[in-house]
Amino acid sequence: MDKKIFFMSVAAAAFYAPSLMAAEMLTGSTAFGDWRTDAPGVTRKITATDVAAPLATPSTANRSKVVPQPEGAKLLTMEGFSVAPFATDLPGARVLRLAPNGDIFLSQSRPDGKLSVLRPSKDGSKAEQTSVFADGLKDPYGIAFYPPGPNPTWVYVAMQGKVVRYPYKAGDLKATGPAQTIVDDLIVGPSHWTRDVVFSEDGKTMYVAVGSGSNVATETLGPRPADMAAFEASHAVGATWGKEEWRANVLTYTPEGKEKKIFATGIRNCSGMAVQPGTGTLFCATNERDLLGDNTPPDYVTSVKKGGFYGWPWFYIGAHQDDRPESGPRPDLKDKVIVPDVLMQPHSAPLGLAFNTGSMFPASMRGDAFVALHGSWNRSLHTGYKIVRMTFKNNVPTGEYQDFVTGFTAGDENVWGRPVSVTFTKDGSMLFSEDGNGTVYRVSAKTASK
Amino acid sequence: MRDWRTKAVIRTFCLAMLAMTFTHAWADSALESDLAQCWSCHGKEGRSSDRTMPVIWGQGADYIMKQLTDYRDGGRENQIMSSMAESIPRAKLGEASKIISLKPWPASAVPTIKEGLPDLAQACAACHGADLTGAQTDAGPAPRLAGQNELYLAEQMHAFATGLRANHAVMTSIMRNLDGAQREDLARQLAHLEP
Repeated sequence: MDKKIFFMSVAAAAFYAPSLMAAEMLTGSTAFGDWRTDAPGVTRKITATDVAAPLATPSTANRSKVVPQPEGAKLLTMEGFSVAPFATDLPGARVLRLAPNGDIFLSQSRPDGKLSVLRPSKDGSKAEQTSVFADGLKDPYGIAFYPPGPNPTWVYVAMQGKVVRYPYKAGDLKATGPAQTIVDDLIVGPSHWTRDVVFSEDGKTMYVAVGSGSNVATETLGPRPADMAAFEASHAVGATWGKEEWRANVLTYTPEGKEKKIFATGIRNCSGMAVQPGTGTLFCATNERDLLGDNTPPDYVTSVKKGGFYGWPWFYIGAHQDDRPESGPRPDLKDKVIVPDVLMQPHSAPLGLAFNTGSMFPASMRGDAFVALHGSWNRSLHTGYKIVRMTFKNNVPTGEYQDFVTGFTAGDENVWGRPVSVTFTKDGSMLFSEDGNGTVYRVSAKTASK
Repeated sequence: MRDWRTKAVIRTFCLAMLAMTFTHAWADSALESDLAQCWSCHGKEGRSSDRTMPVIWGQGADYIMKQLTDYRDGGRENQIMSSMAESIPRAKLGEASKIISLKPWPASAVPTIKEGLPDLAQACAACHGADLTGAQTDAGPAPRLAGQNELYLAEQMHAFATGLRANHAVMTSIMRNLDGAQREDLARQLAHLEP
């Protein structure tokens, strides 16, 4: 080789290598950003030490405007996959859950609360039948089949105030009997209104997620319990009181709605839960607090430890203290805050997640979780509005997440989709809902995995 | 004389300072500039291009105050608004409401009719004022409807009817007596009114 060309090649390699690597994995301050750096395959890893100081940038209200799919706009996904509408005209499309027989249940929360069933066509590409399973519901959200396994006899629905269940057998497209109220003491208003429900793999525990009643408890706590030790003994370490009592938690009950307990505290708004197949570990997709600037604090998806405290309202992402709660600081909790597993771009708004256990996607994606990011309002430039893949190694999250479906943003103001929930179907393809235009999309692998 | 680079730097700096002034978090003073956060959604000239957003400039102060309080306390529900309302110290809600109410109601977004109330809208006048620009009633402050955004009005009327918005019992019962098409007709009529 000509010496000159050789040196030029070395120089070029040295010059390009860092940017190529950066394109594969964004870390530190480069991991933060808005929709303009999104593209299928872009991977980010944010750690607790990367968290920007409060108000390092101003807090900006910047609500997205939902528009119909613009001419020429299309969704992008990774090489080897395709994405296409599965069902349309589903206003308020929120949580998707797979029934064991292959039907897809969908909660449509607002404006007209109902539970719908989408039955896939033979080739799985479309919903060939849509049926209203139950309607007249107030804010239906989480859906769970019970008992776990191939023959559930009940379908549970969580909403503001309560968890109800309908009799169910495989193939039912309409409820065959009235709802039974199983839990009637969930908090109604203010602020976070979604309630998710899932069962443990053994069916003995019903997890119910209830978000906080405020952004950061500036006036919802009231006076501290006189005897904090007694309060925490009857609730849990890190539990909130006043109007936030039984909120910002994952609660557990028996399937009959008895034995209410706090499973984990300080989770500001666990909008979506999923139990990891095989390990039985509970995961939460969580929205962190607002009004601290563009890049503070990260939202997160995490495994949830029994008795764990995740910070809200006094701390975030470990021991980062927030001075806004009216109760004053809680230095006693500082060392108890668990740092979540996967930190995501602040204000992305992760709402739902599902684990891929099927065989349609490549084997390298088996066991990974896919997360729907609803998208930001409290950021100068929009972020979120996409589906990301959370990678795992030996059943443990790596902390990395990768853009999987992008393209819903159309310029700085408009978006044409707001992802909410993910589920995998019987054929191994992935469905996700979005409540901007009320659509369910299907992502399939173009060739079967090896 | 300054070269273009210096000028560009100065311009950028000034814009940055301006941007910071208009977007920084609620401070104790300068409530007026803190309120700039509101305009990024409700419109920098008082009307957003997103017609699902209400006009709040020139709306009644008591009505604004009640809505902000309801957003804080859960009487009215909207994730963004509950965060925003929570960020204003309670003691400053009244002052904030007043500042917003004193701003000029923006020019209409649609062609207007000036004389006479259309059929459906006549019934609203009993509470919302003869010209539908808002009034005090026994059941609390009634907001201005004339010239409000049609999509916002329709959404709110539907929300009252379905119970999604539940911070005014009288409105709930009135809206339940109309069907969806009537509510949309009414929203259209109100949006076109100019007193």
